[in-house]
Amino acid sequence: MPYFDEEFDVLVIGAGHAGCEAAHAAAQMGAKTAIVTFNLDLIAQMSCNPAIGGIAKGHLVRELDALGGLMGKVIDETGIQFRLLNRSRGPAVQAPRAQADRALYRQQMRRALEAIPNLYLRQGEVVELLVEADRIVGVELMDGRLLRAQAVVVTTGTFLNGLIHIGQKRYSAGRHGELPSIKLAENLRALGFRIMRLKTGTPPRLDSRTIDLKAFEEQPGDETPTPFSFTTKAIKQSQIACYIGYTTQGVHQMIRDNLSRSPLYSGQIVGIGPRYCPSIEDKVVKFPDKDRHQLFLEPEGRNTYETYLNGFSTSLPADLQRELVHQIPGLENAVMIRPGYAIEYDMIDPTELWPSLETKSLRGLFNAGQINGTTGYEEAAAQGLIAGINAARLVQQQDPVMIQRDQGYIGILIDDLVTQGVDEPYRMFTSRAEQRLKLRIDNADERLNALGESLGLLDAERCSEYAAKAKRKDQLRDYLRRTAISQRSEGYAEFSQRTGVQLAEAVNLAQLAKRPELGAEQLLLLLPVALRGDCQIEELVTVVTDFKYAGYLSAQENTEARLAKVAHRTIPDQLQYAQLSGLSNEMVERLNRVRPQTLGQAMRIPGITPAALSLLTIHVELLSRQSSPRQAAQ
Amino acid sequence: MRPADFKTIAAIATPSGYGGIGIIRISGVEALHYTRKLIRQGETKTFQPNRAALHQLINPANEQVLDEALVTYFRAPHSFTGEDVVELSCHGSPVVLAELLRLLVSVGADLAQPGEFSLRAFLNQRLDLTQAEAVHDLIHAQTAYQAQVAVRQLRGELSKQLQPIKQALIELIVWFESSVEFVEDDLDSLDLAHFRERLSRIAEQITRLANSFRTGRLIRSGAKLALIGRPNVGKSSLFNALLGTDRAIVTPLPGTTRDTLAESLNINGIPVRLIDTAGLRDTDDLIEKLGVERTQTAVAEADLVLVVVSAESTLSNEELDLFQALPVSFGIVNKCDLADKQAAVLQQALAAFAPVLRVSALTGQGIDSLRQAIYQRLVSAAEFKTEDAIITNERHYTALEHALASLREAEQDLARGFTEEIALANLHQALRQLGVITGETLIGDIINQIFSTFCIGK
Repeated sequence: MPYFDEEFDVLVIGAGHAGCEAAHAAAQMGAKTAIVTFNLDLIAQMSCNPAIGGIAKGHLVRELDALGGLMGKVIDETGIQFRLLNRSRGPAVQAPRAQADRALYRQQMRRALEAIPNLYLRQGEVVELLVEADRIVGVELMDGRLLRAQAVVVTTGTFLNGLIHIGQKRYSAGRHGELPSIKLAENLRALGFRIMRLKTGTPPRLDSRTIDLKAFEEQPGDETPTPFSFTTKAIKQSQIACYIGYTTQGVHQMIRDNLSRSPLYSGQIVGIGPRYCPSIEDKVVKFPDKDRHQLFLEPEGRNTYETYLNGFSTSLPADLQRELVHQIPGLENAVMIRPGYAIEYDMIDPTELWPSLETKSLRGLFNAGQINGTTGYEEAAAQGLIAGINAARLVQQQDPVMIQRDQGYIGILIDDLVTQGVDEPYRMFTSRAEQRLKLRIDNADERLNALGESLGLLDAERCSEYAAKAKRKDQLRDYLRRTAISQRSEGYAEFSQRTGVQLAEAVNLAQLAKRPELGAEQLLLLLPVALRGDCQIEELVTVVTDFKYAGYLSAQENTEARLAKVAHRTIPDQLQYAQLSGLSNEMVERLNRVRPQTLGQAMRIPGITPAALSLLTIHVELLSRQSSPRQAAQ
Repeated sequence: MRPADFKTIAAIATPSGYGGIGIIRISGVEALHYTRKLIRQGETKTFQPNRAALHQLINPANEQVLDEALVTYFRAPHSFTGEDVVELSCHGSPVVLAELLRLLVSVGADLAQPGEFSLRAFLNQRLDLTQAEAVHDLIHAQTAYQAQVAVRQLRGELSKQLQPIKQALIELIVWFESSVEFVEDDLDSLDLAHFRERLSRIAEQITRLANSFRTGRLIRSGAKLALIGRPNVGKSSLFNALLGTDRAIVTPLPGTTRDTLAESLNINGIPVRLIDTAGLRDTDDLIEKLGVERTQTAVAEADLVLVVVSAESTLSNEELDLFQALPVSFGIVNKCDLADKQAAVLQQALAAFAPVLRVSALTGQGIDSLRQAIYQRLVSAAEFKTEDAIITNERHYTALEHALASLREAEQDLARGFTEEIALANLHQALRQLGVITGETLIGDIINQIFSTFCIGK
């Protein structure tokens, strides 16, 4: 047994968005937790664009918040522009998005971590995982310190074997200007993990004082900002506008003429990039018919002139980047503060993980964030939270926690990763949800608060507030069900005038809620003043939406219930796929790789044929018959 | 469980009650061994794979010959089940088949459970799910044409037909998904009217495919034909003439056909069950009355209704009522050999109600034309085209119907002003239903298509 400098229950490597949530959750659950990072001044750094949320991502942040996560609260405090996306569509696809003050976000996150008594911040570079008989026991730092831990969460982001490309120049780095994590990458490879290579990129940053904003269209924040956290009552800080502009044919032509200087097209970059954050080179090459591409000027914060040129991610040489920027209307004289770059980094095949995010081969080792092949702060944070929770539970000798696919996007994210693996950076979309209409931002607390409470992640005040909210919603539901509205009803005149809806005869409020043109804001007019004063608009949104979607939700649930009978069947741990007659080698290999815990999970393994699945179903059935004594006696 | 662990099983592979050849199938490692025990001493007992050889099958207990059969051996894994299989093609009646099966069990074979051959084929990777279902239909093929349709479905004809429809649906989903998912991107805005039109076009195509199920059902279950007429107009004779055998009891006394007989005949490849009914005459006789009641039931169930009148007599009011009250497909003037002139008069009188054919059940005159007319009617009713995929499987039909219902709902939602995410719930549901037939479309495939269609991302 080596001498350890310090001992912890849970140790988190990396203090990005995954690391922060992991450490916070583990510490909140009572585990003595350390977070180790290269540079404590860069905790929760936004490596890419200075924004949180968006469709599906905003959903993740709400779920995170319902489980006591930090991201929602911190962005609510440090955001500089807030918009609710998809406002014209239904509540299921609406989601908040915010521009962050990059520096303030870092500070605020650090303060939040430091506020937890049993959470320890340590600066240093982890160079090796210490392993004893298939179990992690701690880590070694570059400076020689040994830190003991029963569980370790790895959140290396783009640092693992990071390699930056700007034109033909390339150099090892974790981010621009930061050290890469090379030794840990070697160590993980030596431990036998399947390593893959991904790529991501950023655009150039400009000095806003040199931009002619008249050439751009202003995009202001919402008049009434929608918060991310259920605990935020209102967002009071002033907001800063973003600006929208476009590339030109001239820019496109210049890119086409210089493709040979792009590391993406010269073969210098081998990692696979995210298709939903394509570089400007990719956009121009893959969509030659598009005569312009949209750009956003996003301010980096209140105390800086730095502006992020979103939509213009590139790894072209710095001199060319500058020339290209100058071709864009309004940016003729713009000064480029930092060039854009591409970065390649190592990740580990996430099918090497159990749904708890613990690795299958090393007890106590958890992976979260970009190391699992995802992209996005929100995706990373969601995994960090689950890894942190399960690391703490491992230490406390409790079974891991899993979120089901119909319970939240977090569940979908993790199930997709560990079941299907990735072949490009994975981003969340609402279309990945089988039950999209159920997984909404307004009801994330309904879906997950109970779990958060049972895990000790929510404080008493929050729990009692939630209980009161649930009660108010029940009252609302009840009121809508039993109240009929006619022309004589209170508020009818104003309601009718504002919506244009005329009621010839009395209509039940719950029925009225099903009309597509009527939402919570309109129906609010029909509530008695006492009730109106009591309830938050979002509570009414939940109640109204449940009525509106009721038919679809029950139809979906019926389908699910029919599937569930098979899907929830547990596959015995000891099942040897190679021994099952009729399964091809390819199917055996795929099943062995994932080792699904249920038939439902097996169904979602890519490339598993219906025949193989039926076969597996039959064999699982046969096995359960054999193990059942009544059947065996026959 | 390895294939070798399976016990050798045997069963009658042809449906009961069929004439001609009956097949007993034996599958498993002992298939040849058990077969040899049923072959007479002295006969050669070596079998070439895939060759049929004629053998006398005996009861091993007393050496008594039961039947002469073609014995075909299929060596594993080149057989239906993937195991050693022996098929005994016998001439014998169901009684002989049952006796041979009993003897196979007595020498050691296990009686196959329903579907067990298919299950083994499935476990040995000889079949996927759709194929297993198509094989089920193949086994039950009553006629050559039925077999042809089943074979085509086996080759994925239906999947192929469905593919472009499914692709159109996926494109629609891709558009809707992108509009919901990528609001911040500079995408062309949706022209909703255009998409509603595309949606209804997809619905139409599925409707057409689903309609072929009627044809499919005709081919699989056969059509039902009702023969209606006063007693003694010659319904039974006509039935026999169509059937070509002498099944119904024919006497000159009215009301002798006391029971509803249901027999199958083959009209250009479509099995047609002819429901011969007792007359519609009022009677106090109970048995007779039962027959009349059944007649009315038969009319409700029938795909085609034939009302028979006799050329020997004039039209009664009762008969005219029949033509007015029932959905008559054809009027049949029988016995035209006896009264040709009157037959022409009757034909003219009834032409206002339905197409009328003149036949003579006795001489066979007009019977071929009648068969042809029946065929045409059945086929045209189902908008039948031989080159199209034909739905013959209930499960597939149901899937199409469900897909259609979901598409209709999506149409309604959009018409009512609901936004894309609501319509999408139904569009995805429809896609899942088509997936029942063609195999599932993964959400990853849809996301892939989004990115190849649109330039997305900041």
